[in-house]
Amino acid sequence: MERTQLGSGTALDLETQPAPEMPPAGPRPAQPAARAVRRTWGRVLHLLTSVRLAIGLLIALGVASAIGTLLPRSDVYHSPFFTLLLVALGANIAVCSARRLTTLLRARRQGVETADDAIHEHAALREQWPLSGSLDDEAERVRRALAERGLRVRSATRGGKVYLLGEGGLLSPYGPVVTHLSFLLILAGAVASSIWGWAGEVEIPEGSSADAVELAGGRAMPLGFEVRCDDFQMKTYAGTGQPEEFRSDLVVLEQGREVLKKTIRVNDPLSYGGLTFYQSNYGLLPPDAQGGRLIFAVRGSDGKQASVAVTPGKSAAFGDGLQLLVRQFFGNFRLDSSGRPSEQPGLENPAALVAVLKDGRVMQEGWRFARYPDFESGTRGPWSVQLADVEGREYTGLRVSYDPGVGLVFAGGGLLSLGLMLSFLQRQRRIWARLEPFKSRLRLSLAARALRHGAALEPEFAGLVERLRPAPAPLPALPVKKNRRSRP
Amino acid sequence: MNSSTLIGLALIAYLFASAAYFLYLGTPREPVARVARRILGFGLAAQLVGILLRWRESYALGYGHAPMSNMYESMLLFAACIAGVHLLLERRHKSPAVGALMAPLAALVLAYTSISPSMSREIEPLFPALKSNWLTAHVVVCFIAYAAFAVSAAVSVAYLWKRRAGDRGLARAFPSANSLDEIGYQAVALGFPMLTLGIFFGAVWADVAWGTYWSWDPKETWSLVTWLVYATYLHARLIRGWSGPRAALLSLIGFGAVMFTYWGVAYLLPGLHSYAS
Repeated sequence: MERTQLGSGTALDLETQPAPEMPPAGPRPAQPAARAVRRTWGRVLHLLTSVRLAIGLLIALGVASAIGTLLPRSDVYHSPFFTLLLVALGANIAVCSARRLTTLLRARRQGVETADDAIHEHAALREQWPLSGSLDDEAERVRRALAERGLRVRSATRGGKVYLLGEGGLLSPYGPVVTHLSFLLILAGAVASSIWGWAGEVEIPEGSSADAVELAGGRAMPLGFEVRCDDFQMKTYAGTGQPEEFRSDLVVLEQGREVLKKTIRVNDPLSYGGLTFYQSNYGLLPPDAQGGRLIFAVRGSDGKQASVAVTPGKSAAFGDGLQLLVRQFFGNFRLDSSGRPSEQPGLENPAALVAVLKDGRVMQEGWRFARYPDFESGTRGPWSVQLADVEGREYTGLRVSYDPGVGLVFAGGGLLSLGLMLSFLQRQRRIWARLEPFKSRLRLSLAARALRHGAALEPEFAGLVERLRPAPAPLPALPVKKNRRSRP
Repeated sequence: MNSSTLIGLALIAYLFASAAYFLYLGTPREPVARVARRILGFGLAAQLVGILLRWRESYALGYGHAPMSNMYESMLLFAACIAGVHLLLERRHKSPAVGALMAPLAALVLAYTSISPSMSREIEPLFPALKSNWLTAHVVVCFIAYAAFAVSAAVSVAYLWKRRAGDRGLARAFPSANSLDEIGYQAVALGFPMLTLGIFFGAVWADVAWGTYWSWDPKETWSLVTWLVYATYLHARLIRGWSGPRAALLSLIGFGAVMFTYWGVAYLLPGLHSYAS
């Protein structure tokens, strides 16, 4: 089997190298104790840089990750133990890759022998047959057959024999190196992300802007510029009411000047100044002087009714010299311990201190509650005023992140995939051919060897043999009757 | 002709292909294998056209998205990938007997989608987070990987059986134990780069959609566990020389992790990927 060659091959012999034993330093032979220590150290070093350890670490990481999903509160992934496993794997990969790269480069310098007689005696896949034709013509025919299979062909002439070597999948041995170095890139990117990166949330009401975001710990992080939300929209699918799209029109402002406008959606964020703004959520804020409206149902003693919309802190006219003024609005009205009105977060108990003015003079004033329409506090007058509806301000919820590692991680991920495809989807293979004079004719020998895909090479080799082996001599043509059919 | 007719046709073809492959086990002759292969290929073609039609039908409903958004649609894709990966490896390794395991698996997955009472087969509108071109790329390569790992696991079972039974009985039709061992490896060698690419696409997508490329969501974590199992398989095999029963066992453990990533997480560990319900 080809696989048994792996240990002695050029690219994969990581394990077969013995522990490096250092020669005794200095002119005097080392003391037995010192030598034992050194030998032990050598063994430890060898274990630490072995594929055996890498396999152990892969298994440990797998088990730890699986446990982490079953115990979500334990946060295995940020524990020192998990970090230690990753660091050890990174170090192990670095050493193994360096070693592999040296081996590869050495093998590359040495090159592969084109004129190799031994391979024609020993390769697992080999064939030999006589040919009639000139040496040059046959060599050209073999060269073309090898090139047709996408192999890069070299040739050499020695002692009246012509040697050819076709090599395929030449990049394949570099696949593992690319793969492992990309894994290190991903780890480096993850480290950069976790040390220097941050993510926060910001809620920007329509028409307002923000110049800082709140980090996970509650700390405010200044942006260094302003982001304004001009509009937030939610689109729903017709019929089902399921959300189809969330969309915010954002504007970036530097010292009050608009520098960038972009409509962001889920899956289409805004990037500016190294930061990225993602559509994350949305919601309603209680109305305030900046926006939102309170809808009042007003009924006069004469039976006239009106619906009046007022922004908190402002007033609105609703008839002959009549005005409704909202002095105060609380999204969640409570009485504090001394019995004074106070505001709590939320919109559980919206209440407005509202006054009716006639020609600028206060006629009546009192608190009105959306939840308790019949309760009217304060001075009474000819108008019945009810807080009928509260239209909050829509805000867009953005996730803002700074991630200096993401580029490294993606470069690593892309290269990792590429390296694996080089390793596994490309077949490294070599086919040797030798043409030599043999009993007044020619003899062609073919031999093939693959590094990791021994079995898969057999059909290709068989195809090549079929292509190059001369067809049996054609039979003399038979007398033809009807139904003439030519057969090759 | 609508998508569900074609998918029903595919199921029937997979069942007939299974029967033909079983027949091949009894009489391992090339003409039987050819018939089985053609029926399976026909089923695959019908299913792929069915999936494309479903894609088009979603536009008619006003949703317009690739049919990869819920458990039903993913299982359609899974069955197609199983049939496709098997045909590819059968062609490369001349191993029709493996079809006696893979064709019934494709049929089983497809049959489950049509008889499961809890599975919604409607074309549903897409959540905003799923509206991305990454959806198709991410899901397709992941399912090619899952199917390749399924082939590897099935071949590993066949290997363990062949090793015991030798050339007696139905095991006669299977390639030699060494060949089965090799096919099991080749399937992992196809699946592993695909899984890596799938996780990579998923990470890029997560970064675009949620602003973080990795959040240790159960699905992500289990895909990593699966990746680590197959990374172990490849290192143990290619460098430590593990092959035969030990490699077969690792392949089976790996497929267990695949199944947990696919179904276990969806139903047991809720998270960002919980589209099962």
